[in-house]
Amino acid sequence: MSLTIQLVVDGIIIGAVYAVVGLGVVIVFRTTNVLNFSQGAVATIAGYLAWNLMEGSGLPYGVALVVAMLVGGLLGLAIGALVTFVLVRSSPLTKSVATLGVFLFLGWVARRVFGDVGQVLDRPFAGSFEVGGIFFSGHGLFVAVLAFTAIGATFLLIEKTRLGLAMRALASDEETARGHGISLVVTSLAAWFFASALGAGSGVLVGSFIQVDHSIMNIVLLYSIAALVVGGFGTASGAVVGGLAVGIFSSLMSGFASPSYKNTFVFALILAILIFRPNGLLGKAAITVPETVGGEDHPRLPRPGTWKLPRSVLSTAAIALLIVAIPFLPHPFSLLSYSVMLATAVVVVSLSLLMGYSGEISLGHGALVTVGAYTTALILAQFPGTPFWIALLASAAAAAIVGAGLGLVTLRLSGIYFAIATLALIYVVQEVALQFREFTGGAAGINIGSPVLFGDIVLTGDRSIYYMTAVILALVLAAVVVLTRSPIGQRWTAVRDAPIAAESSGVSVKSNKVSAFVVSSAIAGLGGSLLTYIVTFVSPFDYDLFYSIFVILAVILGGSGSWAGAILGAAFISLVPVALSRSSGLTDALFGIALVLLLVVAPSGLRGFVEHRRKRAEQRLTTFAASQEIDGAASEN
Amino acid sequence: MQKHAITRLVSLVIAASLVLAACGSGDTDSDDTTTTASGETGATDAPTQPGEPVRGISDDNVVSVGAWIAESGPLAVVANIANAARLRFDQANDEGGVNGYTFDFTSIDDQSDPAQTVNAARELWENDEVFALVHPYGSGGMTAVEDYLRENDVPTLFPFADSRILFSEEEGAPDNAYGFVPFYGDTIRLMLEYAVEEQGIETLAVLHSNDVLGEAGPDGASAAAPDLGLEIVEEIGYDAGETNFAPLGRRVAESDADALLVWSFSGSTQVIEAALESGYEGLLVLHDGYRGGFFLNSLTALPYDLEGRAITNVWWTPVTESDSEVQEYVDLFNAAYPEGDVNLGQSGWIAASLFLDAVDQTTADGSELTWPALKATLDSWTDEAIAGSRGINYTADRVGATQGKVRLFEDGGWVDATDWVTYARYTE
Repeated sequence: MSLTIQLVVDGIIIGAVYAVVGLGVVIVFRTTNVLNFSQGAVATIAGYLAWNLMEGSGLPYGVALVVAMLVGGLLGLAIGALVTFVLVRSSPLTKSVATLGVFLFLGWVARRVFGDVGQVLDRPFAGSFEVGGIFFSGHGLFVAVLAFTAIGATFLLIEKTRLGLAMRALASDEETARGHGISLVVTSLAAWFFASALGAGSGVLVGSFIQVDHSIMNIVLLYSIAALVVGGFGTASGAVVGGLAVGIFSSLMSGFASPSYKNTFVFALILAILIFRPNGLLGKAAITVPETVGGEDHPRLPRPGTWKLPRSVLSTAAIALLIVAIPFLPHPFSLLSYSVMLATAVVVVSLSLLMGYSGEISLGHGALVTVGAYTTALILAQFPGTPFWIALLASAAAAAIVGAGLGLVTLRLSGIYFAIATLALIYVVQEVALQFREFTGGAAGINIGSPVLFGDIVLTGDRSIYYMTAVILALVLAAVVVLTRSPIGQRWTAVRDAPIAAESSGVSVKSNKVSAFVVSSAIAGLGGSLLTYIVTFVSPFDYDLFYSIFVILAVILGGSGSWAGAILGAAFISLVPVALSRSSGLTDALFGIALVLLLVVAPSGLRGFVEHRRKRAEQRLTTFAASQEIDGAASEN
Repeated sequence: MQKHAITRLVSLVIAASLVLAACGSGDTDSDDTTTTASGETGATDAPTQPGEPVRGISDDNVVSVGAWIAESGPLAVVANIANAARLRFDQANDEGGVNGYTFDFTSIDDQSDPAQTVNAARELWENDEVFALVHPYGSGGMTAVEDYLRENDVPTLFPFADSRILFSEEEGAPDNAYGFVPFYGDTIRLMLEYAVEEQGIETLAVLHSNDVLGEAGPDGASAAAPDLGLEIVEEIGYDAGETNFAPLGRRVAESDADALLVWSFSGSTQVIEAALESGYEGLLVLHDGYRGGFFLNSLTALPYDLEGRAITNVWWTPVTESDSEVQEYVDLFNAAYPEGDVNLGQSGWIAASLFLDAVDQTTADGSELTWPALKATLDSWTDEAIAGSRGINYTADRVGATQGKVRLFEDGGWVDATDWVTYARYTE
């Protein structure tokens, strides 16, 4: 019994930290609809700053905390200004992705300014004491007190101040709030400042409770977002309830079951809660990250029917020819990199399909890629010489089965709840791969050999692998075009455009959502299989949450709903890091800057940018031709 | 019309795939990596005529070497290793080179992504045409590129990765690979032997991270325990991204084991603290990362008396010692990278020094530097000790590091608990 109480006490302390971090996310999200990925980086900078102030300047903990929070708030203000003023024409989804670029850049800044070494902040209260068989860490209690104080202060701000009232008004009905004179800009920027200050404070708390380094706050942020979903995304009370629930549950699982499976248990809990309470314990309505703000320049999820046959046979043939000719042309990247790009394009297509026809975003697509990758690797380990097309199909089938299972479980979920539920898959798949070492190689992973076409014909060499990947991509694209025009695709279109009408016509919204997820999963599994053949290796960590986020990024960047967009997006996320790999540690900074700039210049994605320019050029040409005609007619007269 | 277009497209694709498969099948020549475009000989071939070009060495005797390492992403802290290696090569160049040879070190950021590691390995070998890889970093990436390195006989010197990958007893070492990191099982056995003999431990708890490094902990403990009469009473694995260490500490305390083997980099001090907070009083058996730097600092910062209660191991002389060679490195590194991690970077300095020493020994009599000649030099090493390294011996196997020593925590630092000891596998 005392161990149980001990674990609950431990869980409350860490849960309070999750709640504080989660509150920062909620405040920004509810006011601006932006999911702020940069919060982890701001918290890291604050933690290191506090360490410097204490170690270098000898400032006391409290002063260092306040200074770090002020600096964090100012950083948040700058990020908020970027999002509010520079990305003004972008959708909240694009703005959320832009904060990812900020996260990468700030992470690089933190390394440059503060160095690489992790630090543990000085603690005002060290050591531990025992009461009735329960051990209490002095600093743990201190952190808990500070965390609950911050939670209380946040509630006061939201409930008792004019700023809090403005935030709540904007969150519930933006149009009406603005109509009553509430300034969206001022309130948003104030929310960014306060939320980032809160996040910065959490960075200092974590820095003294655990440590400050360049990755820990991102992990805490992930748990906090998961906790938000448990409690009810978008509500402050939900953040607290969820944080404490996740903290206590994870503590009990670590103590009584296995820390190795803790993530699996936590996300299984999240799934279980969401099945019975699709909006979380305290949530009221489904929270989505809106993808449209209006106007054709705003990036959209792919519209049904946008998987068209290419308008111009000539341009399609030219691009196809380029892909075929790359191995024979001078190219700045290795064929291996191009193969990875094309295989990644398969994965991007899979997610684009899901986002387009179900309207949902999956954070767990990396898990489906992993399932496909391991299926291929395991088949080859057991049956060397298996033709590659059999392994590919098996991988697609395996991923489809997993996708079907998850799709059925998450039928009632949508928006951020669906996204977090898919995240559970990442951890489940990872744990399975880690724990069944004798089959999967555990953390060391599995190596495979060259793909076999059939019989004794082996595809060796980079060029063969490259063409194999290109052919598979072409087949996938052809299949998507056919599928979207089939009765299945038509039902998807109907469900997407008019779900109520579709339901009343006998078209099941839920089963069509599941079928879209299954098809998407199968294609993702295919992509995983290809990647394994290209890299000749798979491990549990290759296609994690960050990989999934980057695939989402590729869908947005490339402009969804087209094969060219998929390849463009895949090219960005797979070739740019390679291009920057000799930049002596500048990869994160340059990639982050490039990402934000790209979103500023092309908010509807690269393909949309090109399309926009083409249309404008056509318009100018038409105008010019018309003016020539008029001039000609006038001169005749 | 649309249906017809789709049919044509699909037919074209199927036809193309058959043609391309026919072109690509059995293709080995198109990516022949042992002969460069300029016709230079591969690494395994010695020039047959004096003055014939040697792969990776320019006409003015600049030796090109390279490594992949994470310089961005979550493991970017290990970039210190590449910085230290580069520093050593720059120092050699500033001093006029080694017997007429100067050095160009290229590092490629693989972001700890195996796909990028494979790409980086190929870039270095096929595009940069390096003479050798020197101190590439990372067990995950090494697993991914292992087959490539074997198939192409890529000279791979002093990699910082779990030696079970390249130097496994089943497969044997690749012909052109020379190690640097001892088998983690050997270092664990060394420490457990000391703990049993000197501290009388009988039961052991193992705490490890769920990654390639961490898995070596329970594997090594399981291998050594039967021989030493040790009982493993608890084994706890945790994810590298763990943030809540208190429950782990509670479980350790509940196990009441005589000793706790901690085999992880991520969160190891936090979990030790959690165990101590819960009243754990046994011996701490720690991985070599605790020899100095952040890990040592974090250990000494704990508000618990650890006098005589913690041991670690080293297989090179750490930066905390007053060894003159080591201090030379410390001074140079701190001057060049004041915000860097001098403790973490040390392996890069040592690896570069080993390479330079091998070049020196090979060419001291005026001989030309070629890979076979350098390989012969390395094969002759029985007890090389450079820049803090000890007992580098490639005559038994090519793991390299054959000696280690146990250190005991005293007065806020480490003192030698044993002298340099040859690992059991080399004495049996």
